Amino acid sequence: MEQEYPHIYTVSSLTREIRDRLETHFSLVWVSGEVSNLRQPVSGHFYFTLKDAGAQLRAVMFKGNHLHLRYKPQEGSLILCRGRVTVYEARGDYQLVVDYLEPLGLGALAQAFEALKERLAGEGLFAPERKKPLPFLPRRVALVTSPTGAAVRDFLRLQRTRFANLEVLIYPVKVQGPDAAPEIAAALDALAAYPGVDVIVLARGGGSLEDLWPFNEEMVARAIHRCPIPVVSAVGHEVDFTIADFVADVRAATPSAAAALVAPDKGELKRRLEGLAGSLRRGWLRRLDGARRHLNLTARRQPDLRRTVTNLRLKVDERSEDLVRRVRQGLTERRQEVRLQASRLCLLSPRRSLSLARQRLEQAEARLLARWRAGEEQRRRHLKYLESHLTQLNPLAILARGYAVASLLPEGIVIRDAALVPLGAQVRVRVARGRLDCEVREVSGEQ
Amino acid sequence: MAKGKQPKEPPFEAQLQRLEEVLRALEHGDLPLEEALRLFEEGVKLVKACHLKLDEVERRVDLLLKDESGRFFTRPFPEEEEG
Repeated sequence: MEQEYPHIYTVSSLTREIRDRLETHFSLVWVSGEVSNLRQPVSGHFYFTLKDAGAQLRAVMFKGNHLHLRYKPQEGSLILCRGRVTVYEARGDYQLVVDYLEPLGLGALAQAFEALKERLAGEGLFAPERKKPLPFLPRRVALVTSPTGAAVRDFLRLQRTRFANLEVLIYPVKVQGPDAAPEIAAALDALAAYPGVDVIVLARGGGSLEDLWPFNEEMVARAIHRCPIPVVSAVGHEVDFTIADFVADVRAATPSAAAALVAPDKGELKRRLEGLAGSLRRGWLRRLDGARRHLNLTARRQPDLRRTVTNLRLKVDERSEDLVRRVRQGLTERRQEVRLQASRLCLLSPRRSLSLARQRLEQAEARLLARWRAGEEQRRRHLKYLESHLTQLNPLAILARGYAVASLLPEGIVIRDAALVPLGAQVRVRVARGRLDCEVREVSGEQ
Repeated sequence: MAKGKQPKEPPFEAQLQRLEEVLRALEHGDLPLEEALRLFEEGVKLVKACHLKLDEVERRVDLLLKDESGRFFTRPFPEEEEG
């Protein structure tokens, strides 16, 4: 074997070599251990020591790496880290620069969580039909939470803003650790019997899975399940879902959200109420106005009594005038009819024919007269002739010549034959002037 | 199941719903006048009752505690005033 002189390092060079080897070899490691000496200076980085029974390891987790982590390491908790070993030459020590950590046994807890969740779901504890509706305006709200936590403050703050005059009853419980679950279950059972509680809010601020574990316990789930009052579960942050969240009637993402669910917005309610009241008034006034207008319209159509009477009177007069006029008209028509018939009758009456006859008579008379007149001259002449003739024949003229007419009395028969006259007969002798009544003394029959 | 004492009057939400019903009926317009008046009066009563409900009950935040004998009693919960 070749004798080798040992290489003589300087402190720096040895340390550097140690650094190279460690940092290369342990560039990515997973380490589990207990957290101790945890501190977080102003820089925000985590400085702690990971230890177990036999050794300890300095560790640092820079702010950028843990800010987004849900889990924050606690003093004494068992964690699992991932990181790399670095050597701080100046001090001559090494540390673990952690880029990720989680609580140890997270896997186990998560499994237990899933198992319980599945079992309870199978029993129907999460069924949506089971979920009770929250009261619209609760009179008394029970808050099951830690009296000192942030949850209670957050809840009350928002509740005061939304609807201040609510009664809030705070039932103080532990919200983490082994005693929490029994206390929470007992709280729920007690409140179920407490008078006047309309809704229960189960609240707890954010935390790790371990911290929130009581709300994943079966006894809490069952207590929520059997509670007759609606339960709101507001456990952890938005992203945290616990078994309690599933069993509860409503899940709120945060305690403030729970306050918003439980307490209605008073301002909004008041406004809505005012709006309804306004609509009610308007609706009623519209109806009333409508009725009034209808009334007025009707009233106009039926004027007041005096006018009605006057109108009626006028109407009556009008009608009676009408009637009279009609009657008169009827009468006139009848008269005309009568006249018509009368004239027709007239046409047929004997008077007419009488007058006609008279007319004809007159006509005939006239014609006669005319003819008469026409023949009168002739007649006159004729008459004169006859007259003269007659004059000649006039017995009186004969008498005037001295002749006499003898007639036998009493009969007056004119005597022509003397033989016919007995002696002593009375005889009237007419002479030209006067008469002589004689008695026959002698009769001779010769000429 | 115990659900606290029975409410003597209908809950707020029911009264609000009834108020909306009354309003719809009134706005429908076909009602005889007496009926409309009756509904209007009912509406006014409901509005008053609702306002009352909203304003009754003083703010109270109490801590529910148990005494030695296991009985419940309340104590006012100290609320921090907003700064």
